[in-house]
Amino acid sequence: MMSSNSLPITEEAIVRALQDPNSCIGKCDAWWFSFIKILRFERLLSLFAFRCEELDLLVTFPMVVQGHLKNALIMAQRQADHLKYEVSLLSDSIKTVTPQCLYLKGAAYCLANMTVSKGRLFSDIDVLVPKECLDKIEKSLLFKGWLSKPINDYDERYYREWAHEIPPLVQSRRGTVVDIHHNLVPPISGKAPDIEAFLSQTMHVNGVTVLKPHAMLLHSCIHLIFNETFKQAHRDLYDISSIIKDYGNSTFWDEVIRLAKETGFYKELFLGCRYSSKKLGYELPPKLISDVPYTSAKLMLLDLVMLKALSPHHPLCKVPGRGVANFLAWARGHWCKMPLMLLIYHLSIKSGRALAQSILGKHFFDAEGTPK
Amino acid sequence: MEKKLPWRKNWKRCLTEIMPKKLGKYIEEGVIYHAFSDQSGVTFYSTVSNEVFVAAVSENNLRAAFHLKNEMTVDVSNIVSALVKQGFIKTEWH
Amino acid sequence: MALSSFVLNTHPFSFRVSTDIEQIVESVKLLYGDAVELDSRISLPSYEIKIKHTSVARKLFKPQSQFFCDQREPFLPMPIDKCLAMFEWGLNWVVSAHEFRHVILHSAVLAKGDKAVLFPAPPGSGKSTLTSWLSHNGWRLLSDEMALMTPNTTQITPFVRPICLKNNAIALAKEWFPDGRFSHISPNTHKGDVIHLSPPQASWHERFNTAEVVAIVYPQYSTSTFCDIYELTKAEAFSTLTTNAFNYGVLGGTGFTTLTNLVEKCQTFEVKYNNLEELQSFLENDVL
Repeated sequence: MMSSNSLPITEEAIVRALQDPNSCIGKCDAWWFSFIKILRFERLLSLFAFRCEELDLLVTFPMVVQGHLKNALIMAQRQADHLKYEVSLLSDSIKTVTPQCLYLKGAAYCLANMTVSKGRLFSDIDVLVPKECLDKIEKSLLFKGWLSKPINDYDERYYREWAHEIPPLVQSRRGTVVDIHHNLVPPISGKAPDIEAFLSQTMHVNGVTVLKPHAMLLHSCIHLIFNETFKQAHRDLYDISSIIKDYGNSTFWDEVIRLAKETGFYKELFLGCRYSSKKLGYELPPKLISDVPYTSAKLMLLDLVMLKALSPHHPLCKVPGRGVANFLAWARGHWCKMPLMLLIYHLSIKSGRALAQSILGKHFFDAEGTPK
Repeated sequence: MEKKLPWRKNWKRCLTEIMPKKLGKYIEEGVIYHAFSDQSGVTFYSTVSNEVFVAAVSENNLRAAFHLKNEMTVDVSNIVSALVKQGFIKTEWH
Repeated sequence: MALSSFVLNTHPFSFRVSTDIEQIVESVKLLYGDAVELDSRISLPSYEIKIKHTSVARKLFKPQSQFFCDQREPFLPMPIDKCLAMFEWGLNWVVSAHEFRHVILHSAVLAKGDKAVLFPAPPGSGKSTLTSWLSHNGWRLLSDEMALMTPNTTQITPFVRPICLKNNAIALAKEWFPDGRFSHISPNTHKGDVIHLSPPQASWHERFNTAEVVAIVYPQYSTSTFCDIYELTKAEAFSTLTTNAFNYGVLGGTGFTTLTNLVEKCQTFEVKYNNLEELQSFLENDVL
């Protein structure tokens, strides 16, 4: 939804601004108006704010911009402060059932005090537990006021039977959301890694268990490529870049490549790093680049689709040819996650809804997804 | 063993000197304590859990606020342990 | 109607508003006066707002309006007769969801000169009636619902907006202020019937000037009580205040110290009254 006098900004300009915030000095008001909106939508505003603060740039920007950046910094800081507490309570509940409690993604970056966590907002806390403990853990959390987010019947079945998660749980008083996983991709796709391979690559830091950085990179790549909706995937490219920048030495690359091949996710590692490096403009080591798991024709096709799907999705960031690319990437995301017959069923239900929604408005279905 | 002193005699001292001293460790590490200047009560805030506790000052209120069965001593260690028991303070958070 | 835009230049934030709802354009112009800039020189507003009809098909049988802050839609669509209420609540949402440089209290705040009184009050306490009365009787309105307090001070930054009156207060206000700038009624919202009243010019003129809070007053309209005043202890005052503050949680320790500081520097009163002039007299003579 765009106003007629909004200035579109190219993806290259956005990336340049994030990599080199100094280049934003002197930009016109119309540019800033669009830029702030795009960043906020892509969940990159606090990252930009953090980088600008480190370079002492805030005072050089217009007052309105300074305000937005300060707000973003306060929000990100508050989230980080709060996480320690939430994780402590969560761990207490989970440990009454099982000692295996592995924190993933944003929560893990923050708990391990990694650079990638600075200025990074996360909406949910992701934690991995043994599959057989899921029910007991859900019950244990229920006692502490953690309830399922209200979703429709169809999506609830998708979560429980087909996907790799029980539905997200919300703490009724504090509003925190936790996603409890038992694997990193859905087992039904036949592609789930032997979880033990990942569990042997963990470290204990600040009282919690998280993956080692090389395993975090692999998980981040898997998550990026096995995505269902690419709406906010652009931000994940920055996660990948940050982990590589901080830890990417020779040993690191040997370990991540070995783990990727061992678990059957080398393609995902390759693609995730490829797209992050292409989009954000940095180099990858020869041992990764030279080992290409696709024919050049297939790679070209993938690039065509994925490079567009992984661009920012805000309407003010125009990317030609996007509509088709998104659909293909979305279909690919689903295809990765479940067998063909189930996929067709899933797609036909989902697209039936989508059709109804586009004619009658998004809210034809109420919060539970039942037609009004 | 510290002698039990009646609240009324040492009220102000208790609120403004002794409590902060006893809670010192937590105060350094993220609990903010404030004793109201009209001696109507005290309040604690945990920067980690974002919880606020307000206690009004009559002995009964204070005991009720901290769910204490026994009498309080000037030692106030039972207030600290009550706060810990209720999960308001956890040593590993601070 | 095609999509039309204007800038709403309300201090300390500005909003670029686009809408295809004629009622919104008319009402906002009426209620906000000079703060509405059709040909604005502001090229960098704080936020982008859109309030529009839902889909074409909907427009035909059950017209509804939708509110957007850029790409985000915080509410479910509402029937079109409530679009103005939706607009006002939308602005409240935008500020409370994004602004953390102030401690935001769910409270009216009015001042005489530079001395302000906070009136936090739950719904049904008659606060808006009091707000509309005082703002038309020598006091200036800084805010009807959201008091913006600078952290670790008692300073309020005005955020002047129309006063929201509900149910019984509507008839009273129309009787007292026959020349008042009232919007149409938004019927049967979850708060009942709702109408908006623009505060007098004096409030708009002074909207760039901060004020210092000197007292906190909890007004409670009571038909059988002339004017009973009860002063709260600081612990009671603080405790009640924390249930009214919006966002002290996001601000963490700063929010907490701001509120303890406020309670220390000010007196807090509960007032049960049925006579507005008496209450006003108490405020002007004993409180300020």
